[in-house]
Amino acid sequence: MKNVKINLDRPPVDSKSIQAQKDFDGLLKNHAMMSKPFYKSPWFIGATGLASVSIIVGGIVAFSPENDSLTEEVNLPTDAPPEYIAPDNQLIAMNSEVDAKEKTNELVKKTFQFSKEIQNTVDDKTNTLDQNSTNNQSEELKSSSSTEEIQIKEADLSVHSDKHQETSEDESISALMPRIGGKINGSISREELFDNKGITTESDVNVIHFELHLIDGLGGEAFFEEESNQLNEEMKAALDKRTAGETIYFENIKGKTEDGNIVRLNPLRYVLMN
Amino acid sequence: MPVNPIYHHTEDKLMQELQWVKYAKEDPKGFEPLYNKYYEQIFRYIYQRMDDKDTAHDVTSQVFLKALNNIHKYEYRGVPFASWLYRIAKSELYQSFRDRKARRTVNVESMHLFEMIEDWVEDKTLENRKALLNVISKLSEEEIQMVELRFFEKRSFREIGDILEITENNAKVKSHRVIKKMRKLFENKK
Repeated sequence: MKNVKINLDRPPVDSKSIQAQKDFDGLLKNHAMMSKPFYKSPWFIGATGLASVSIIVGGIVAFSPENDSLTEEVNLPTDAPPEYIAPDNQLIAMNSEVDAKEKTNELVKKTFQFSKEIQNTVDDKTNTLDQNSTNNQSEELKSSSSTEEIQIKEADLSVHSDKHQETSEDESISALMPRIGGKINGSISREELFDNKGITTESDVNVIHFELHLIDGLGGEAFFEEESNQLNEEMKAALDKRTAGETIYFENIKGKTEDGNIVRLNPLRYVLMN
Repeated sequence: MPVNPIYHHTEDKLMQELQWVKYAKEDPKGFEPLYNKYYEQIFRYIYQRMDDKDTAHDVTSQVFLKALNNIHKYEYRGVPFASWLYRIAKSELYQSFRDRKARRTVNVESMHLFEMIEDWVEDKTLENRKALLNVISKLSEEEIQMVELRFFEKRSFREIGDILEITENNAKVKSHRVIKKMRKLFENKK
């Protein structure tokens, strides 16, 4: 080894002088200075890092718009897009024949119940209802008489359904459903849409109000309102611009019974054929 | 050859040391018994390889500071705590040489030289002693370390193995090789 120095018989160091150099307190001080504070320790950094990531991920998941739309989709009672569903919508769109029977049964009951509520001026969802609530006493009498009639009808219906359970129920249910060109949902041609009959029912309920909602391929929407059962010119012009395969929605359809009661009917959903 | 018995511990002493280590891991103040026990040994080991006494004290302090900072990493392997301290001391010593650009020092006592020579030649003349010093200067760092540990500090092969992180048998083999080489060099010098 080149760079080595050899000392021969160097005077030995006595134990006392070595012990005198000992300084444990100094060692502890140096140790304390060199020790990492707790916030620099790996476990602390790891735990805080993990917690931060969890909070960020949790926040993203909780506030993401996808999550909201999912929730809405789950609660959707109809095929209509979520923004077109009125919060007080008590009617249920029917997508299949099987569902239609059960749901429309409920629909009829709810319609009668709704009529009763109108008389009691509990629910005031439309202008007509508001008017009802401010009518004079003679009108109230008329309303009360119509209530009795509805109750009689309900009683009749229940008796009828006892006798001819399935067939009579189907008939009464389907009679209340609105339709265009005899079609309840599904595909529809422009000719059928634009015919002079408009939205009709097979019962004594006449459609007096509806809304047309159109959604284009880019997600843009158009909204039209009409106080009759016929498509107005604006609606027809808008429908002319639509192409085959696009979906159109008729929402908030209201009908008037022979007794003058306003009822809400099922929404309609069609796909344009041409 | 007589061996320095200071390194070797009974089972009870080893267990007591282990208890101290446990205390030190929980509280740095628990390191004091180990510090008091081994300070002198470590200082002598370092000073044996250094020229400057103050630097040796600094390096010794550094060894114990490093040991205390890393006490949580210490694992008991059935050997005295000193072997871990010696390994740290060896590392700190060479670090010190590099930092201070100091020369490696070999401190030799005449008595130890004569003990080595008497196995090879009969006359213990000063000339032979000088020749032996020349031989030592021709050795590599690893070989000088072995000569120091075995012949100047009288350590057992087991202790040498623990310090150099080799097996006891390997320490024996290396020691014999160094002696063989030294004798050959010594005879050539003569």
